[in-house]
Amino acid sequence: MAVRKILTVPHPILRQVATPASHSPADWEQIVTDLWDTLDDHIGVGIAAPQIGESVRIVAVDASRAKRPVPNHGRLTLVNPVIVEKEGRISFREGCLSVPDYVAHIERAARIVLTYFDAYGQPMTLDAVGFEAVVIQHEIDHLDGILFIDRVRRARDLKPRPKI
Amino acid sequence: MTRRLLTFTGADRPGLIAAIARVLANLGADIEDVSMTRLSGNFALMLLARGGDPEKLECELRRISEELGLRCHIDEAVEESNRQEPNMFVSAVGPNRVGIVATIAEVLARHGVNIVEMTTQLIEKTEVPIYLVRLEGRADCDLIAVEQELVAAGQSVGVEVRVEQIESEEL
Repeated sequence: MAVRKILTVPHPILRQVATPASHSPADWEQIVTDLWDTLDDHIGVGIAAPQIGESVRIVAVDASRAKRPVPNHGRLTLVNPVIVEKEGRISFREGCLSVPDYVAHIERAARIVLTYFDAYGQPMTLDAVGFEAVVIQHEIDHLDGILFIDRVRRARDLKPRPKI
Repeated sequence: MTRRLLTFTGADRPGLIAAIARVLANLGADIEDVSMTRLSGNFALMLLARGGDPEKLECELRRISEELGLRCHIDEAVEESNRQEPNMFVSAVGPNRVGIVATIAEVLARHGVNIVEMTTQLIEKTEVPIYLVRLEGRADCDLIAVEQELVAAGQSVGVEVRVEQIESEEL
């Protein structure tokens, strides 16, 4: 088990387009373990490999950890995820472990279909809606060097996270 | 009918807009446009008001400003001959330092680009504070040339600059 340090802006790895993972799960098994260990150590619903310093196309998502119950597929390890269909628009208030304590409303597709490989290297297809779809899009953005703050149209739309 | 640009600044608290708007309403001044923001606890209100007796208006606005602890400026508004619709969007992000806004704005000014709207945000809880700039401008020049210069100028102050052309389509 290894909880890794989460990189924050302006770390250059967060700006890189991550490289595709190899076809051999053994090559990235440790990264997947560390991603989950790190996510489980934080309050968050998703994490992408670049956030722990690994510029490879792997993300971990668990929308069941949302504050309110939402349709979800539980713990998802997405290796080389590709969104093949997008539908509708939805806006959620997003935050990011790499931009601590700030949130902004971001508009994204309300439903997505994606292809990916699971933690065992099996090809999969997933149909995600609502919050889970948003989380997956946010994490896939990380694989392309994009942060949610890049999607904010007005700088002041980015607000300090309200204190609970 | 004269149109005035009214500016109020001071420490923020509840009720400021209510008090100012009530004075204007009571004197028959129409509020045409409002821009209000809070800059770290500082209240800043600009509004365009048309109509109302100029002397009474000035007297009442001075009185209410003093009562509210605000500074007030009253200027005759400029009439815009043609609306400046923005056609370029500029975003910049990078470690905070002195001179980011000046560097970007100077490039735009050199190309005759008018900044129509600009907002910034300082993100402080990261390893180093990050500065975010978003602006919309009206450019009647070669956007690619502006973009190239903005990206280079951004690099000189350590920020990543992105430029988008704003287009609209009837849907």
